[in-house]
Amino acid sequence: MSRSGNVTASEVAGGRAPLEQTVTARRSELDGISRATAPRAWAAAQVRLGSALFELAAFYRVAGDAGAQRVLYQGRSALRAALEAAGELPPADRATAQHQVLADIRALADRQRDEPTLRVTWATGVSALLGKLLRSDLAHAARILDDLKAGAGAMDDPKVWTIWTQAACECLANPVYVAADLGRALSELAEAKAPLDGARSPWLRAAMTIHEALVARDEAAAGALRDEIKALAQAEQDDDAWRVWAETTTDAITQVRSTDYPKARALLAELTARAGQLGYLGKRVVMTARGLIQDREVKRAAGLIGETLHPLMIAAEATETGDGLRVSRLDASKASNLATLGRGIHCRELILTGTAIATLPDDVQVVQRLDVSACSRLERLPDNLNVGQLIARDCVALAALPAGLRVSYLDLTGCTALAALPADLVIRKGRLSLRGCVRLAALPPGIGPLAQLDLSGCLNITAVPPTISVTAWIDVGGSGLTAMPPHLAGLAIRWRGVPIDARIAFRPETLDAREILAEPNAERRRVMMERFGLDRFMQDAKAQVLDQDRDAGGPRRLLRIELAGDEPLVCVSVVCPSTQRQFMLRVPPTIATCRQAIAWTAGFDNPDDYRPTVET
Amino acid sequence: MTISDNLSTFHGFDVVDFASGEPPADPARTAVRLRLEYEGEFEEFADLWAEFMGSPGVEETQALVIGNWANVDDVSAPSDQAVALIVSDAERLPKLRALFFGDITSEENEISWIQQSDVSAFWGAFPNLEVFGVRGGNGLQLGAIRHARLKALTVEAGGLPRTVVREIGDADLPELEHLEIWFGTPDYGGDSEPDDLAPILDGSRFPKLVSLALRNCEWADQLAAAVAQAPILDRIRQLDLSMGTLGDAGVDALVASPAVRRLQRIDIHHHYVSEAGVAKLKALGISVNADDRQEADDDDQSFRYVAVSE
Repeated sequence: MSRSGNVTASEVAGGRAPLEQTVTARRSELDGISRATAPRAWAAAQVRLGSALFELAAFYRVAGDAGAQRVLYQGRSALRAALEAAGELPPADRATAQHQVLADIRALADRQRDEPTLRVTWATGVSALLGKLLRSDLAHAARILDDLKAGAGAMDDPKVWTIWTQAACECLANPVYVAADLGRALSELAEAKAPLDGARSPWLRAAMTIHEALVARDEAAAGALRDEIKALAQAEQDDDAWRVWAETTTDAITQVRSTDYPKARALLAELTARAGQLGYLGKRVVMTARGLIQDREVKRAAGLIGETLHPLMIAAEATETGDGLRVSRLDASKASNLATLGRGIHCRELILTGTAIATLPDDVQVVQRLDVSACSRLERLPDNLNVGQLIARDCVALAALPAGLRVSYLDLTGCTALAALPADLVIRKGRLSLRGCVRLAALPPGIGPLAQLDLSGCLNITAVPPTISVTAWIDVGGSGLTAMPPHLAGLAIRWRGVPIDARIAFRPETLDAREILAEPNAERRRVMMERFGLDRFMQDAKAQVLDQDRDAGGPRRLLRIELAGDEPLVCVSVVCPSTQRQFMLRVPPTIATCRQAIAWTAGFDNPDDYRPTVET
Repeated sequence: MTISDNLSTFHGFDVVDFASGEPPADPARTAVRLRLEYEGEFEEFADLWAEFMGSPGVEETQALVIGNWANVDDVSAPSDQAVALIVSDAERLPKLRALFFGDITSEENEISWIQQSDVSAFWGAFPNLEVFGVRGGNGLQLGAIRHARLKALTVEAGGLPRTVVREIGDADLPELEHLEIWFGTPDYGGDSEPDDLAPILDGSRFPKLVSLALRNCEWADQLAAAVAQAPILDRIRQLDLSMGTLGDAGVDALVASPAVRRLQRIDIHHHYVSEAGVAKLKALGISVNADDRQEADDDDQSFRYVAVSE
């Protein structure tokens, strides 16, 4: 049949009628067959009808007949109905019937080469069959995929190639199909990439499946595949491809981290470098991958780090810890009856706060911090202890420190029994807190340099040896110091924690009430008042007299001064009956009478409850 | 605005997170950052620090960035333990030249929720330090700042207590070239006033200072007026009044100052200055960064906000 050139009127008239008659005949033939009882024959009849319709459509098109499209559509419907019917046959006959229908369509397509619809109908039919077989018969699916590829090659139609690509990718996204023949899968994936148009996301899914199968067996090949995915992501600026690349890279890290740690680290570096392209997802992926790399078990297995120490909390009822503990933090602060610490203990932090411990074994090793605060029975610490911080607050039985002690931070607050510090004590760079160490009378000249020195409440310490350097601050509140040691001039000064200056600390008599009232910082103002003397301050500041009366000692007055940014200062002024000295006692600002005030100082809220017989 | 990203560089060093078992990074080019991360390798900063101190090449460290030190159970843990750990091991970090203490993003902890502490032990612990930065004003104490080598001091806060501003004013830093203070707002503890800056502005301190950054200030107009007349300006080349509430009044004071005309560069970005005001500043012929103009909610000054507060 001629498909080109002018078609004459007689040709048209001579060709049309027989073709139309054939279609009519095929329709009647079909009508005579029951789909329900003879589905196979019915399918074959549909193919024959389709064939006739395509012939007619081709004629119409050449003749310029407007009915061409409609007939084409009917032809395609007939072929699809045939495929459908074959697909509904019982399993025993189904495959043969399906192949037969497809072979018929293929033959038709080969006959009518300029009718692309036929090729697409065939390829789509093969692909649909393939999709079903993927779930039931993989070997068959593989054969069909080969058929489709051969057809695509013979037809050389880009649309058919695309259908093959999609079908191949669908197969390759199936882990069982991939596992059956990894080599074949790899080569199919490579081929599927060439005619990629419109099949990018199926290809990416396939690539991911293949990568999963590959990564455990052949990291080099898996790496090559990741590079391909990355190249695609870069070339197409495809977020989906970047995501797949990131996920496959993370899979690879999971795989190689225990066998080839440096490789895993290199992959993480690659991932981190690309995190920007991955947007929000990037942060998450990098975090996950970092977590995989930072797994301490993995690092330990790779010989990169030593053992990982874990914290240990000693139970409340324990009286001993046991020997040979190697832990990060050993916390016995709940075990108030703990009396014995085991031998051979090594830890980063040892917390014995409030325990009944009296001594520590000589071989205890604490790297960062040893806290023995409130160990009221503690009498002795081991010699040659070398630890970053030694916190021994309120160790009231501790009369001496051991020889060879090396620390950076030493807190002996409230160690009231402590009579002296050892001459060989080394404190490096940190802080020495001696607050309330009332028996201490001197500092050993060799300690320091210190950053901070807290001597508050050290009544008996009257000097800081010139060999001791202090760089940041000294707290002199209530200490025996009466002047700033000359070598510490310019250092920040504190009074029981409140930053003040040398004048407030050592020459409070040069202050005046107005200056004190003008001080905006409430804490500093309180220290100024304390140093200046409450009596004199109330007098100089011209306090308001709230109440006055007399008691055994003489006149009493309740005085009040308003303070900016603080509660008002209310004091009761009394005279001691035995010494005749005047005292000023601060009371809460809610107090309104002298009587109430005195009762409050004795611990009574209601003055009527307080009836002293004799005041002394 | 909040601080949403960690430092990627610090004083010319690339910042790299420390990870145990990794080969040491090039100490001449890299700042090592130590921080606790969500579901990271370490649960306690002390564990992380111990591992870092045990890692090969740690003695070569030149630049250190301390990030989040608080674990997930106690996000507002104060920094005192971190300070003590670092100071205790200072002798094993003899080459440390740069330290940033508190590289914490708003996601980890808002700047005004960071619990700082007394960091004054750093001065004596690291005599070779040239660069020091700290973030978070809550609980921060600097003590007597006396350091023979420090060249750059940065204190970032959403509300900096006046006690800290006074400590900076009392500092003895003969080599200091760059001083940067973020004042923040009274809502988060920034209670300093222009008078607190007097010792800094009167020129009696910091003989080598060339770069002065008084940023994130809620009284930026008063600040500008005080700075414009300040003797220290004679030695300053770069003045940074950015991230604050600077308006036309402040710019007028600056423009009227002969010393401002001698600056190389002035930075006022994040400001409330009118276009005419910016034009006056640019007419001085010095380099001006006046990006990021803010629109006040009202003409009233109290509707102006600093860049970083909570």
